[in-house]
Amino acid sequence: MEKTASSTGQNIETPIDQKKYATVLKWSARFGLFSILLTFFIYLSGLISPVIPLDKLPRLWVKNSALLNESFGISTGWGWMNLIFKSDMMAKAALTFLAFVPILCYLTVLPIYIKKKEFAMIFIVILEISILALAASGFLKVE
Amino acid sequence: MNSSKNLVLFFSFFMFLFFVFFLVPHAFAAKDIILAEETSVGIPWWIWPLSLFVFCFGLGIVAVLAGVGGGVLFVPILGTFFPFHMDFVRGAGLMVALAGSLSAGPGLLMRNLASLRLCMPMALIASISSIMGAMVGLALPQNIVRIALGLVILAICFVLLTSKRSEFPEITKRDKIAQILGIHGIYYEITQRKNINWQIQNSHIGLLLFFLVGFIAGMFGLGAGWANVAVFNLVLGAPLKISVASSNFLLSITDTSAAWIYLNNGAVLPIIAVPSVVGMMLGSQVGVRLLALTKPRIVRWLVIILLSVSGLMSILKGFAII
Repeated sequence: MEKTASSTGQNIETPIDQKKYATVLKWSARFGLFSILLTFFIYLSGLISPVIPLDKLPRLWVKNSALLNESFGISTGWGWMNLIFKSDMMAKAALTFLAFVPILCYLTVLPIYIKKKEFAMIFIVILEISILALAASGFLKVE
Repeated sequence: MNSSKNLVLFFSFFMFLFFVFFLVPHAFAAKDIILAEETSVGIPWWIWPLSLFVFCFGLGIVAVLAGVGGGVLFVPILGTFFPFHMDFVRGAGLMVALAGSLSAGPGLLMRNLASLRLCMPMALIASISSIMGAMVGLALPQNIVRIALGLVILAICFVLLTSKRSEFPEITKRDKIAQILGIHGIYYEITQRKNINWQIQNSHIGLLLFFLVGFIAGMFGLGAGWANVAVFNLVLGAPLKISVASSNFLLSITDTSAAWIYLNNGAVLPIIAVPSVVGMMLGSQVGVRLLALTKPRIVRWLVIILLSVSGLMSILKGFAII
């Protein structure tokens, strides 16, 4: 390991791509966590009715996800978005937003690598976005 | 100082009572789906999210004190002691690891402790394999998942017991992949009061190992900090601080890929995931404050014992012995 003592102390410049990624990550993660708390409060308070009644959950969460979803007509993939006005699906949407955060961050840094013509990094970023988008698309279903 | 110690003692005692009188009986009651349903229905619904919150709060403290990710503790313990199906436990486990990683990420990146360039290629490989792992995990019957999870947990205990970490590994030769991608960096080492330049080696071996780690993380919904740090530090030769921080940040990308599979297959229930996420995050904050008051070595041993018990019970439950 090459160690270099530097007179610059802790004045180290954070790379621009890293700085931009961190900023988007910070604000979108905060928004996501706030949304989770808000929607969960709505869910538990009963202000809006859920798809699956809370008192029925203890009978259902012992079964696998396919059986539970089938019992209440909740489709896999993005089908649950049809029920977005139900409180449990709102809470699920907030959790789903968290999974969107890395895609947003990758999209933010892509123009930096394009501008710098860093082709290897451009390739990695585009491939990662494609993989995350494929996972998010709902095409990869488990029967 | 004394009041903080009393608080730790009180909380430990409370967690012990909670564990012995509430969780353990359910572990034995949840031998099959009918018994699990009886256990689950016999208690008012709101007790479950509340106990999840309390349990995850304690887990968050322990995880920080023991220096392991919360995700690796969450799935085996929750899967053993709560009546939820493994699909929902793994879905919640990924959300817990993801939320923790997302909230820690910005600080680690801004202080140059986590490296974006180091993580991106590793995350790409681990994302692909974690999606594959998630699909395999959801397709397998619950008893097979329990047996495999138990074996993986016992293997993790072995890794935790035997792996040695190196503060500043020696780099003999910087490899081609690292040169092309510009993977190197500099950070301020507060203990030495100077800037440390770092670089890596063996990227090709690291990429292969991250494929394996991603698959296991996706299949069992485990955060993969236990393995990421070892690969970054011992194989790639990144300094320990960079390895720990980059591992934490990497989870936010790899767990996302697997989380999407669980979300799209309806395996993330807000009633299980949200109290777990909030409890774990608050517990981690308390854990950081208590870090100075406790002996991490003892906590680490306790965690290894707890994990071993959970691993063994998971195997026994998989074989329907308990």
